[in-house]
Amino acid sequence: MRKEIKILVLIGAVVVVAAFLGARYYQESLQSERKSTAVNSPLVRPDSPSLGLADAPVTLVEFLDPECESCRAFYPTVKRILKDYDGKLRLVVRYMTFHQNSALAATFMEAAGEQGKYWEMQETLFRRQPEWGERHGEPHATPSVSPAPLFEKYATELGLDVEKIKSAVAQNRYAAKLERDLSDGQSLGVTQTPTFFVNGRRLARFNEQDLRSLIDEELGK
Amino acid sequence: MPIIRRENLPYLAWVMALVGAVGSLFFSEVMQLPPCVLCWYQRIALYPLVIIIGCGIVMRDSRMRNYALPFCLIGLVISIYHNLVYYRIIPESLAPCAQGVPCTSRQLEWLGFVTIPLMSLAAFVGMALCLLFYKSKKEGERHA
Repeated sequence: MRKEIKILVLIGAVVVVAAFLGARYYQESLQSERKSTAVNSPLVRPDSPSLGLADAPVTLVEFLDPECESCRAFYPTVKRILKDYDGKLRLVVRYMTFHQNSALAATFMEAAGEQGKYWEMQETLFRRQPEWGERHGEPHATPSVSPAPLFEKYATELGLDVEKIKSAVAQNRYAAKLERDLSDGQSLGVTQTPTFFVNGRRLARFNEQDLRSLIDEELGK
Repeated sequence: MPIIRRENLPYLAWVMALVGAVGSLFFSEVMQLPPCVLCWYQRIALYPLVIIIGCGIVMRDSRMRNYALPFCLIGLVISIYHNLVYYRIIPESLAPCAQGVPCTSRQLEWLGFVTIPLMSLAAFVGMALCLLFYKSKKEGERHA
């Protein structure tokens, strides 16, 4: 065999073997990390917003960020899935407040929830996210204007008592909850939004087809 | 005898292409970081280089740069564009990122600055330089 071929095969073998060892090591460390954290970080907290029957056979946990564009884009899909699996699926929302205005938006959702309009507020904030959210690829808006007046307008449009919401914001009433969700999410290995868990099983690839088949699998058990 | 000599530069370029190809597959298949559109275009330019440069080395072809450099330059142009978008020097709205992962989402940052687009840029620049400075042992003689 030519000298050149020998060298190439040798280097190639080293790189490929290193990649395989790296892959195995990566997967093992990921698994042990999940095992150790899954126990003390519950996916569902009693005060997490939830939609659907409490004893539904499948619980879908979504870690979302109100200011995340992908969460917004995927929101109609989640709604459609909930409709398709009506009665069999419960949705639980956890917050990963990664962006600048995420916490404020989540607070508005929670405060609207006090008045029984949590989901309406969530939908409004998602639908009108382009009016207030940071957009990928656009220069960072600094110093940014607080979207609070805009959110108050949404609340008024939804027929909510804006003063009550304002006081929740002023008191930082949900700061601890958002903080806890963030740390729960981080210890569960949630690094991006939206991240879905179906009966505790993490959706590996974020797309509608995989999400549906994971739900089907859990229903078929 | 120093190993890094101009006639050995194709090996260096080949290693960069190979590590880039295997590494990008590692990111997407093992770490499950979804590649964005621009990443895919760069992959299209990068993957063939493993074969092309490899064949050039085996065939001791001193004209290797004629057919390897075009791939490098195509990849380099896309990579420069990707980095400009990624570091928000130009707005993403010009980029074909309507679906899937936005080309600006930072999925990985090693040591605070080593990102995937930056690694890609480094690889394409490195390979292009290797091919440009490459001189076969008996340049001109063998393929007279």
